[in-house]
Amino acid sequence: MEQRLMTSHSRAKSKEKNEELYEPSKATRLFIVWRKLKTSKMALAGFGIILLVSLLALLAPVIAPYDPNAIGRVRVPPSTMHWLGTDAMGRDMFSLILYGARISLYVGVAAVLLEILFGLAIGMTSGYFGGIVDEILMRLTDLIMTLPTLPLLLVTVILFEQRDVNVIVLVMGIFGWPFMARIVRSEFLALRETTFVEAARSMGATPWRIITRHILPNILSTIIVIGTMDIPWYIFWEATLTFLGFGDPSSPSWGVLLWRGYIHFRMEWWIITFPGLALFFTSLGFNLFGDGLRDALDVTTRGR
Amino acid sequence: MSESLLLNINNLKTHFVLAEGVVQAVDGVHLAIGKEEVLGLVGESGCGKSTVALSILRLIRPPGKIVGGEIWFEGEDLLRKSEGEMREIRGGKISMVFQNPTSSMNPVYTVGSQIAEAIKLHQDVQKRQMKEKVVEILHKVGIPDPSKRTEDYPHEYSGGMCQRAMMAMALSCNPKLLIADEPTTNLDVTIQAQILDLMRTLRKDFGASILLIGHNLGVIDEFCDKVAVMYAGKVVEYSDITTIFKKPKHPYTQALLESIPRLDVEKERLRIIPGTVPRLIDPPAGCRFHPRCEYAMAVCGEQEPTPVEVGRGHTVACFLHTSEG
Amino acid sequence: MTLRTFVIRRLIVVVPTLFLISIAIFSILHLAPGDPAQAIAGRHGVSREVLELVRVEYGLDQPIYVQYFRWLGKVLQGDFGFSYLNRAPVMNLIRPRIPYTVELMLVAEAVSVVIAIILGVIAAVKHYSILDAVSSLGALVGYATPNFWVSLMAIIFFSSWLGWLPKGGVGTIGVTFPSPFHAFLDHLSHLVLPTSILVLGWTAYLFRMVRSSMLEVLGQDYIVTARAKGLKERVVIYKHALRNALLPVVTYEAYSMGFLLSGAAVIESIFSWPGLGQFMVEIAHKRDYPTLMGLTMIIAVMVLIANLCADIAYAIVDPRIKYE
Repeated sequence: MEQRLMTSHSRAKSKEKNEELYEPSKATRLFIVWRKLKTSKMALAGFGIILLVSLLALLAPVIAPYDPNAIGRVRVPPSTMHWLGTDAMGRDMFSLILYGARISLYVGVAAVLLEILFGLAIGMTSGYFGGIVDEILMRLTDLIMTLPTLPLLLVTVILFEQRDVNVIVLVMGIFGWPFMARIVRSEFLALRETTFVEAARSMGATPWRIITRHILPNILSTIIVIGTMDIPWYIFWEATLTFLGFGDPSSPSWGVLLWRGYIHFRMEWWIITFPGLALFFTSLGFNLFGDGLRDALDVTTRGR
Repeated sequence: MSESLLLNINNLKTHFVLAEGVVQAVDGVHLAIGKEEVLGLVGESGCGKSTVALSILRLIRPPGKIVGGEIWFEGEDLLRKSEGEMREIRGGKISMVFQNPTSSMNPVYTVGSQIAEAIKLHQDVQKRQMKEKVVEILHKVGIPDPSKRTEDYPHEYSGGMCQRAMMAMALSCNPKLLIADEPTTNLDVTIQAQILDLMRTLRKDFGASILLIGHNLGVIDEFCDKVAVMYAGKVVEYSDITTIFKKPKHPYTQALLESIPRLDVEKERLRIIPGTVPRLIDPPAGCRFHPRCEYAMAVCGEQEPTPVEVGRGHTVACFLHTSEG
Repeated sequence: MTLRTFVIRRLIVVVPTLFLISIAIFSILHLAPGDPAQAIAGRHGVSREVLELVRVEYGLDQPIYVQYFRWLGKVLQGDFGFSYLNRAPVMNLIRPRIPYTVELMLVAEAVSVVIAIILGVIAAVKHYSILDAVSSLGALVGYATPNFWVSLMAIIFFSSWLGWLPKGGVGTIGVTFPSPFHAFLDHLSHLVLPTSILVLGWTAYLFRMVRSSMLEVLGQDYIVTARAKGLKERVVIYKHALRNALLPVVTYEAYSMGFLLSGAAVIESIFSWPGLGQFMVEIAHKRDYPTLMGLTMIIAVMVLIANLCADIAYAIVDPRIKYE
């Protein structure tokens, strides 16, 4: 009697263990992703930075000690009155940088959203219709992808009369879709051949339903990773364009701050160091997080 | 333990250190292969067969590590040899063929040059004679038009031909032992038969011993003299081919054999073994098979059974048979 | 398909692409706001008669496609237009700048490639080691740093504070050197900072590629086979693994020409390096459209040629490609 009890007990225990090997539910999958992210300290650090920057940006009106456009004593080095000093016109650097964060974040996210919009649309259209449509679209994609970014951006930005940050966002988003479109297209093509899509089709699902219910959710993780990894690039290009003097001179964008610092430079290192540091940290944060996200979601991105 | 043994593995332990824990992939394996003998090593996926094979050639890389045991080959313990000495043995005295023939060759070099590379390592062959030798060995393994084929790249070979070429590479230096890790698993059934035929011929021509690893009992039956059955990192039964099939003593072996569909016997349902293979990070206490075994006793959950001889050259690791033999 | 057929096919594809690019450039710049005649004649006050003259001269009164073909015809003959602003043919303005950009990019490229491959291979082979972790982190940091900011920091630090290196330009002006060697050294000292900044960014970028490619290759079956044959580990890594790992890196390098050119443009501007990049920024500021069109066209051609070379190089090096 005792023997048999012990046997069923040990068998029950291992049965539980074996259950773990079965296919986890969606909630479990999310949990696994979160756990993987947590173990990567880099990704966590990146996320922390992003959170910090976002908070600072959001709370800028509250936190900023001065109005960013208020003019005061010029070229003051970092001190108790002005933590990060003032620039050539006497504006407080700290406040400027805080407001600049808003611009950078806005640019990054808005451009990525545009990129996703266009990339998804074009990638899926190309994949879905195939044939000549696909050929033309892919040739176009290749073309734009290989053209040098800065010249392209420069040429288009100067077409607009206004020097507005939205112009830059628009231009970047318009030229940013090729990479996303390519990846979307290849994933789409791969997924189209899967058995579960075939099953859905044989059950009479309309193409729209197949796309939205079956294909899109699976492309989602790739899109998220690529988008996250592209945000720092858009921030960078906006900063580059404005640094080179093509931005709105009155905006607190970090690139503009650097441009102003560069033009009026005498010996005031703080005017250049801090906005640049801000840029650097924000970019670092997104890159760290994006890397970790890619590993956690197991996405393969050829290139970049 | 006699001079007629070519390879004698004694209590081999190979572990993998992962972030989640230590995987005891091979945990105390005993195996022996005689001269010109074919030993089949059978077991489910993940039972450690490939790890045993790689351990013999000391090809285990971090995070894996051979942590114990001895591998006697020609009177010397391979685990005590230096890396340089092992390199001489690899491809020379002991060769290996793998499971994925098409991906087992470097895609940017010609097949001929890769075989020549193997030959150059272990034999003193002049440059002029090298091409001849390569063509000769390709011919021996049945590649048609070998002198043209030496200039081809692996992607121009079919799966079956790739495997033949791999065998050519392995046999080019007349090894005493050929380890074949599931050589036919990824090939079509018809090609499988061809490759087995080839191996049979080669065994005769080259006089080598073969360690054939697989999970297809039919293939093993065709070809092997002796069989060792592995489960979860341990050898659970070892005997000659006829005994294993006619009188299997270990419950796992019995269950395996009973799960093969047969044409000659009426069966209503195929026998399946309930449960799944245990994770080797945290193997069950005692006998690793006991959670799935219908004959499990109390002692099975407490102690690990040591192999005992139950017949001539027939060993089993099971408490059911400890009293016998 | 032989290599020759492949090359010819590839070359044939280039033609329509160039065509498309020229149309794109032409159309984009003709979308520019304002009167093209005004833009060409310059932003200074010009009389109506001059504007009319300009209009006729440039055929701006013709329909747009006629204008395009006129422009294209000229371009094909090497005439990239005339810059009213600078009062010189565009080609003359561009030509002297090309060697400077090429020099900067070649040197930076060479240094980056060497460092990236060495470090990338070591990091992949010694996966999980401290070296791997440190260099990977370093690469990420280098990848995330805005190049123009680092340039400024470097100038402040090395030039203003330490006085070791010059602030910009290609050589010290107004100085006669005792020998050409001295002049060369002086030029080198001007090359150091801009090249270093470029190298920082590109090495980071390349290193990641080499490392991940190498890691992927090292996990392949044929590497196990190579070891099982009895090859020395060094041979396995350099002969078998590296050869395969570098394949995607090589093509990607060449395809990134556009991206790398952009980086160079910014650096050139900051360091007053008289190359194409700096020129582009300058004329973009001045809204010199005709020159801009010509310059963009030239850059596009350069990039296309680089891509073509990359494709051909890849086809030569990877035996699988020829048989598409």
